[in-house]
Amino acid sequence: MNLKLLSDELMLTGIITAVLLLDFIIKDKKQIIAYTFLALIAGLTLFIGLHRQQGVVLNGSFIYDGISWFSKLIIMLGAVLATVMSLETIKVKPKYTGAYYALMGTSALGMMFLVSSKELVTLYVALELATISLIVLSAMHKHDDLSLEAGMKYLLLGALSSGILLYGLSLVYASAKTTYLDRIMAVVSSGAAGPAFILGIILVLLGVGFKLSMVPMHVWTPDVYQGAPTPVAAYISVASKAAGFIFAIRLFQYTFLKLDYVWVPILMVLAVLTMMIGNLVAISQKNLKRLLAYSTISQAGYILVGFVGASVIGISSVLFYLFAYTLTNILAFTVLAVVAKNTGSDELADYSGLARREPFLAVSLMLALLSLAGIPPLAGFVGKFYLFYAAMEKGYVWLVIIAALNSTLSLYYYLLVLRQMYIYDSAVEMPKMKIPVSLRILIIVCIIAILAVGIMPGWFIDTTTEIAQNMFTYTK
Amino acid sequence: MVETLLFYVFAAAIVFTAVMMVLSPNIFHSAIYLALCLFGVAAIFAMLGSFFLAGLQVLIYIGAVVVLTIFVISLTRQVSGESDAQMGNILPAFLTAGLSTTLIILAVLKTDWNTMAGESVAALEKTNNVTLLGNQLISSFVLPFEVISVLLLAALIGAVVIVSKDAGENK
Amino acid sequence: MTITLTHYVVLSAVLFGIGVFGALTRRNAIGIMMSIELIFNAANINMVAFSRFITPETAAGELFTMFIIAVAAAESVLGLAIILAIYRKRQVLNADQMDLMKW
Repeated sequence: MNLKLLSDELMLTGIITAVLLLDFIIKDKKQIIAYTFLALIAGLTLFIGLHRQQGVVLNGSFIYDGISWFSKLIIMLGAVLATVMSLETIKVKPKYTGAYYALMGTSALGMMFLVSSKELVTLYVALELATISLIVLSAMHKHDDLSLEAGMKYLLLGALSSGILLYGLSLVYASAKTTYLDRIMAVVSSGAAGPAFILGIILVLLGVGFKLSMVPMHVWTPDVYQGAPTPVAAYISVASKAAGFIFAIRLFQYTFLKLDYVWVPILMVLAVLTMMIGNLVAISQKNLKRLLAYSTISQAGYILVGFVGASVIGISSVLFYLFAYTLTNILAFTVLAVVAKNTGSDELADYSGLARREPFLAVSLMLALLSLAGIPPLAGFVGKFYLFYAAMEKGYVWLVIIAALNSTLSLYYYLLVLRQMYIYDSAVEMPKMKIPVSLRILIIVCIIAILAVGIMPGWFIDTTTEIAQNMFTYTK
Repeated sequence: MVETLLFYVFAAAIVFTAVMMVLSPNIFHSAIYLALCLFGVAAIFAMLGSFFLAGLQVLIYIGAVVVLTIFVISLTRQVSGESDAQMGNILPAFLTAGLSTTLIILAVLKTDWNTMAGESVAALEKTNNVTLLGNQLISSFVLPFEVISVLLLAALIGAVVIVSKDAGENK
Repeated sequence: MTITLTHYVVLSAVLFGIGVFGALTRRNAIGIMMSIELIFNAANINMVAFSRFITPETAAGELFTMFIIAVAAAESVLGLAIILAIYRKRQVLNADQMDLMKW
C-alpha cells in the first residue's frame, strides 16, 4: 500500500493534532493557535499545489487523480481564506479557539476524503465528517440564538438528507453487488440496471442535493448562512459546495454516466427550479447574508446547467466555475464580515452610504457582486459563459436561455445592493470603520485574483480541461 | 414455518411501534416506542443471521442513543412535557411518505434480484460472520475506519464546546 | 412460504415512509431527530438484508451498517447538545418556534 498518496490527508491530520495539543499547552494568548494553524494549512496548500500525484490505493477505494488534486486545492484555498477571515472577526470565547480551528481542519479533512474516495462507505463517512464539523462550526457563536438555531437546522436537514442518501446507496449497492464505484460503473455499463437501481440513483441525487443546496434540499442554506459566523458561512458556501459537486461528478458523470437518460432530465428540471427560486426569493431579502445565501442557491443552479452539459467540457466548466466562485464569494463575505464587525449588523439598510464612508469596501463588494452577476471582465463572467457553453455543446439551448434570463434577473438584486451603497445616504453619521490589516490584504488578494482569472482565463481553462480528461483516461 | 411467523410478528411490532412513535403526542412515550422499534430491528438483524449487528444495535442504538435522548427529554422537561399533538402539514407529509414508500416497494418488486447480475441470490446462511467483519474492517475498509475515528473526535469536541457552560452566561 | 429478500426490503420501505412522515410532521426537534433515526434504521435493514442475501462473501452491507450506527450516534449526541444549549438560552424546543429567521 502506497501511503505517499495519502500524504496530504495525513499531514492535515497531523495539523489537527498539533492544534489540539497547542490548545492544551498555551493558556493565554490563544491567538497564537490561530496563526500557527493558518501557517500550517497555508504550507499544506502550497505543498498540495506543487506536489500533484497520481495513483490508487486500497483496491481502488482511494484515488489521487487530477480532479481530486484540483478540488483539494479549492478546499484548502477556502480553508486558508476562511481562516484569515476568522482571525479578526469571530466572536468565539478564547478557550474555544483551539476547538474552532481544529474543527475547521476536520471539516477540510472530511472534504478531502470526499473528493478522493471511490468507495461508498468511505464516501459516506467522509461526507458525515465534513457535515458534523460544519454543524459545530455553525453553532459556535453560542451567545447568539441565531447561531445555535443555524446549527440545529443544519443538523436536522443534514441528517434527513443523509438518511435519504443512505437508502439510495443501499439500493445501488444491492443492485451492483459492490460498494466500489469502478465496479458499479462496470455493472451500469453492462446494461443491467433494474428499477431498484434507478430509484436508488434518484434518492442519491436528492441526498447529494443537500450539499449543493439544490432545490428541494436548499431550505437550510439561508438560515445557516445568516446564523453561522460569517467566515463559517463563507467556508460552507465555497469549500463544502465544491466538495459536494466533486462528489456529484464522481457519482453521476463517472459511475452512473451510462444512465444519463435517468438523471439528466431530473437534474435539468431541478436546475431550472434552483435558479428561479434562488433568484426570485433573493429579490425580497433585507439581510445581505440571506441575500448572498439565495444568490448561492441560484449559482448552484447555473453550475447544474454546466453539469448536465457535455462530459469533458461540462466537468471542466464546473471546476473552473467553482474556482472563480470561491474567490468571488470569499471576497463578498469578507466585506460583510468587516462591516458586521464595525456596525454589528448585516442588514441591507445599514449599507446606505457605504460608498461615501468606506469607498474601499464599497468598491470591493461591488466587484464581488458584479462577478457573481457575470459582468465582464471579472472571473464570474468567464465561469458562467463557460458553463452555458458546455450546455450549448450538448444542445440544451432552452436551458441556456432560461439560465441567461435568470442571470439577468439576478443583476436586479445585485444592483439593489449597489444602489443602497452608492445612491442612498445613511441617516446617522457613522464613525470611520476599522479594517484589520489581514482582512485588507485578503480583500486585495481576492480582487487581484478575480481580475486575473477574468482577464486571462486561458491557463486555468487549460488546466481544468486537462483534469477533466484525466478523470476519464486515468481510472485504474 | 416458525421463522415466517416470527418475521411477521417482528415486522408488525416494528411498524406498530414506529407509527406510535411518530403519532404519539407525548415525546417521552415516543422515545419509549423508538426503543421498542429498535429492539424489533435488532431482532430482524438476528433473523438475518447478523448476530453481531443485533448486539451493536442494542448496545449503541438503544443503550446509548435512546437513553441519551430520554435524558435530554427529562432535562428539558418543562417544555418537552407539553403536548406535541398539533402536527403541521399532515397531508403533504402523508403524500410524500406514501408516494416514496409505494415507489420503493414497486421498484423492489419489479426488480428481479435473481437475475440482476447474472447470478442467483445466495440462500440465506445463518452462520456467524464476525471473523469476516473483523477482517474486512482492518483490510478493505480500513480507510473509513480511520476516518470515523476523526469523526467521533470532532463530534466529541463539538458536543463539549456547545454544551459547556461559560462564566457570565445567564442561567 | 419462506421469507425472501423482498419481505425485508418491503418492511424497510414501510419504515422509511413512516420516518419521512414523522420528520415532516413532528414539531419538536427531538421528535424530528427520532423520526430520522427511523429512516437510518430502514436503510440499515436494507443494508443487512442485501449483505446477507446478495454479498455474504464480502459483508459490505453489514460493515456499512456498523459505520451508519456509529455516525448516527455521533450525530444524535451533537443534536442533543445543541438542543440543550438552545433550551438553556430560550426555553424553546419546537422547530416551528425556532423562528428567529424567516424563510
